Amino acid sequence: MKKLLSLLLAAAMVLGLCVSASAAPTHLTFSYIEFYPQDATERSAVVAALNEYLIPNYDIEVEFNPIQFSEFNSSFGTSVVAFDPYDVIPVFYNNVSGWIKAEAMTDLTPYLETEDGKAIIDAIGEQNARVSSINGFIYGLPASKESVELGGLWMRKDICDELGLTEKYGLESNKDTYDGHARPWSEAAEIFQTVKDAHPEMIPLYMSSSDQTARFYFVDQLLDRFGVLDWQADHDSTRVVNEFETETFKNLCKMLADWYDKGYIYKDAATDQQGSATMIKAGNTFSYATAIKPGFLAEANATNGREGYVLYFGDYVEGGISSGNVAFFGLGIADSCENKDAAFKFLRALYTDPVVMNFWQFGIEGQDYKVLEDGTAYFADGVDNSNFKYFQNTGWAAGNQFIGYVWNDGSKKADYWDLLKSHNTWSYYSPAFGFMWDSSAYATQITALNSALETYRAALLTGSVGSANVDATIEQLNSALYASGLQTVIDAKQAQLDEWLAVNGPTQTPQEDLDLINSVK
Amino acid sequence: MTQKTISASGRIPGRRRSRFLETLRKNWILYLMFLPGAAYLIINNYIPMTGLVVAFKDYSAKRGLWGSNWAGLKNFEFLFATPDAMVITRNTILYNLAFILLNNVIGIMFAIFICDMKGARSKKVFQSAILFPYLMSSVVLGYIVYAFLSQQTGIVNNSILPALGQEAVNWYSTPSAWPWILIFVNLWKGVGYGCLIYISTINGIEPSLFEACTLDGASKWQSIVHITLPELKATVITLTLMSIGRIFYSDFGLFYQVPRNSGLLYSVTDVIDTYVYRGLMVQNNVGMAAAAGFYQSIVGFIVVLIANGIVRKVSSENALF
Amino acid sequence: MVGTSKAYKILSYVVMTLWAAIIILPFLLLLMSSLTDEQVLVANGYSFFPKKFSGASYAYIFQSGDTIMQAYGISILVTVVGTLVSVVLTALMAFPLSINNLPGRRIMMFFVFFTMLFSGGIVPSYIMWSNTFKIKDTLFAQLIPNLLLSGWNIMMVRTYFSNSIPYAIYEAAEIDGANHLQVFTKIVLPMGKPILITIGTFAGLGYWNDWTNGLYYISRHKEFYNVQNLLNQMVSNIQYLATSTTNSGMASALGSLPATGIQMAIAFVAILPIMLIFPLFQKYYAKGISVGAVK
Repeated sequence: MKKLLSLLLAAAMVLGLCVSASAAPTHLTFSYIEFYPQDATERSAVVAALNEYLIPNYDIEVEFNPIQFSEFNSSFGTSVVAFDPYDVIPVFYNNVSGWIKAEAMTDLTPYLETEDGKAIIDAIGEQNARVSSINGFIYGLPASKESVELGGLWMRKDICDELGLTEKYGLESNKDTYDGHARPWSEAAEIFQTVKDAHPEMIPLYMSSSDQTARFYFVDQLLDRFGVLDWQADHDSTRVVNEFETETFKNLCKMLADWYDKGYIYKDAATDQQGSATMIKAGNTFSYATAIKPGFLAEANATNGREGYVLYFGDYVEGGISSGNVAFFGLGIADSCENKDAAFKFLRALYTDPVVMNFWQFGIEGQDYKVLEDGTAYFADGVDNSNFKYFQNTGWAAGNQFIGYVWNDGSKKADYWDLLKSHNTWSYYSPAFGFMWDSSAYATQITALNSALETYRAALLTGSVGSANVDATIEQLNSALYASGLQTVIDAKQAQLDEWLAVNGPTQTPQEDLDLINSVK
Repeated sequence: MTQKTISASGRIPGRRRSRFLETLRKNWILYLMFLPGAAYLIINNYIPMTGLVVAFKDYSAKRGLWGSNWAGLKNFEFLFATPDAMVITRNTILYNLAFILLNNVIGIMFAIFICDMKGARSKKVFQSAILFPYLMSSVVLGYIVYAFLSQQTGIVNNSILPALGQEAVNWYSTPSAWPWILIFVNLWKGVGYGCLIYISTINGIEPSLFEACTLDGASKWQSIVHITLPELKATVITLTLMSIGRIFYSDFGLFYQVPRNSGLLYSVTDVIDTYVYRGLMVQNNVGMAAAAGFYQSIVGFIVVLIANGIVRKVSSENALF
Repeated sequence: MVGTSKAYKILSYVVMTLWAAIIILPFLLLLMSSLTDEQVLVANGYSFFPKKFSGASYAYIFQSGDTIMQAYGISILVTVVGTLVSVVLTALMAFPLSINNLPGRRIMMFFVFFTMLFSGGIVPSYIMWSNTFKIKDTLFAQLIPNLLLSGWNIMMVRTYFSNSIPYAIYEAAEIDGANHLQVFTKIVLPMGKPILITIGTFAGLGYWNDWTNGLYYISRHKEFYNVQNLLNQMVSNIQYLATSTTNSGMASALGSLPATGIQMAIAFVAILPIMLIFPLFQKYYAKGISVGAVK
């Protein structure tokens, strides 16, 4: 407590000095989601240090408002639509529409025309800067991260070694960069059978109740999955169709049900909420389906507390990128913000100024982290993953992590950001990339559709319905969806998409991406 | 009565007003006692009720509750125009009826049992025990039920069913089991609440009534029917009427956490509150959430008016108002 | 009491003992799972007789600093103060309502009853408490919204007052020259003790178990979090992370959160004090019933 007071005092003095030196800087609240617990005293110290830099350079004094993910999903939304005073706030593409409808968000379109906006566009590209938009209303800026989801399996190293899977599939420790070679998912069954034969007590594949379709195939879900572009059938199609009537969906459900019947999949998958790490740690689980990217293996091994291998699976060498993939998490400005220009300037700092990004992500250099010889960063001496006081590690959820330090967790090198960017080139853009549909006039249908889908989703996509019931269940799902107004939604979506295409034209995949993909095909 | 007095005061001002003042002079302490709590209820309950107007609005944070545009009945559509509307309404009402009935009957039974116990210690032990489940939050309750019913790790499937020579059951995808599970869990958690009140009421019964009964040579059953139950009547009616007023609401935790939001169970576990939560709270659709609240309140209000009317016809002294 | 047959006696003891067992078993399972080695818990499942015990979950809780102790302090303070205020206000309100010939009583009754039927929803309440009354991030946020008075309790107390206290006593008191306040303090309060202790119990449990006020009204000063807020925050972090469409960043955040055993341990720790205090409190409660009631 004393420490906190003295730090606050120090911070106040620093601020006081600056205030007397120039006109008062603009005070801003920066709300962000804190995924890992932090030490409050250390956080205040970081804020004080960051302000020492921000005030002279940006004339902004910032206050951190960390929110828990649970708060973000419950009370924070209420607080935002109740028009509480906020400045920079986190946005999630799934629930932002309610905030826009309630006129609680600021449209960033005019701000992107300013000098600050141009700087941001230079940093993350025109396409990404404008992707978080509904009906021309740009509600936020996306976090810079891997935007293509290439799926595969994380598998336990010891079991793979023991059963000869390592040689058979050419598995290597620390090999997680995609090289254009993915196996069809149907081949995974062989691996599961091998494991099951040798270790009958083991769960070959862990799945949970969260939606994992994207690990198995890509379609452009057009935000809410009710009416999609069937990328699997035709990469260039702009016809909105019902995903749950496609062959792709049926085949996936059949494959999973077959796996479930054969005892490959965790029996409690349809209701499980534990997460893969808990299961792997417990030692009775062999693998789980996951999105893989360069650097994934080291992160996963640390989380899982065990060594593993990864193997890419999928029916195409490339992945697809939709608006949702990029817009996932981001930062926006609340409409209650009193100084929106300054808030946008702070956003610019988070997207273009490494100093700001490093302060926020890693804390104070020398105290919380140190810079290694190769230019990467790691915990300061005496600090590690178990006792850190400040380490956000959430560059994937907000801001532009590509400008900051690479976090050297043992596997990453200074060129890691390039590796991640090149991972993104293994992708084919959905023709509707940049389009987000405005569902606000269809809230009734969307509510009913969600309920209909949720009734059957987990059972179908974890295989727990069983092979015998797949066809009947899919039929039930579809009739429930149509009864809930699916056709109305598909028609409305198609009309909005056509309108958008008439103005913007279908989004093209960059030539270098196509070249890379074709070189492997 | 008071209204009559006040409205009549215009006609014969002098006399009526003096009677009003007389009432006030005689009872001012009583009214004063009522005041602090009334002030709290006005602030905490009545002022936010004006927010129900949002149910008819296209809510905008910027314009506020009153400034937002009118939306007519659009926010109510989802409660009536979707295939789920029937299911969630049916579930909400049937579960509440089952809860009211069972919690009352079993609560009274337990209360009579406990009150008749001679040993002070056993009385105390059971009295404490029945209230313990009330201490458990729904989230924890959800975990506990899962610990019993999980397919892979649950005690029922791991230990009990194999011991009985039965096949494991995938409880979370077996809808037919859930009405019983939910009713049982609710009883487990909630029966102590009513029971405690009934114990308190039974203990307040004039002992001479029972003594007279014994002298008449009545059996235990007769004394229950002729003394205990009639004495409990007022409490039972009050509690039941109050529950009926909330018949369109439900314990969110019980219906959301305990079935673990398992989709295959929606047909028997989905109630208005969970449906609204899943569909609307996540989207922060204030208007539609308010519409649901409005609907729940209005219907509950009408039902309780009817129920109270019936009670008044049958035994007027027990009517709530 | 009525002379009871042996069969009835046996029946009542058997039924109540069975029910007590049904009540205790889940608590026992909660305790056992919090003491089970995490790996055994996930791999072998829940059990009343775990293969391997471990105190790691409790060690984790008490190593995680004084957050939990502070939250305990808040829980206890809020529960004690809130319960006292609640009982006093409820009794004050219920007394006039129990007097049958009080002019305006029916309207007053309806005024209370109406609050049980209608609620404005979270957004209007939130706007009022946080903007008008500025209770956000203060201790009052844990104390005042929603929990202080419940229509249920007021109605219950007034029913008790009017059913259990004979009107003749009031008349006698009035003849003796006592005013309403004296009647209230000298007659009603002592005679109403059983019901007041009962609703005090409910109010206390309401305060102890509440997490919504903390969730909505405590945001930047988490030191006002109570034990339930901590538990709820942890559990719902896990639920939201585990059930939303995850990416690898969210998966690793999920992996860093406390495991099942720790959640069970915190749940147990949250219940423990009230389980210990309850029997002590029960003494007064039982006494209240047998001594305080009309003889």
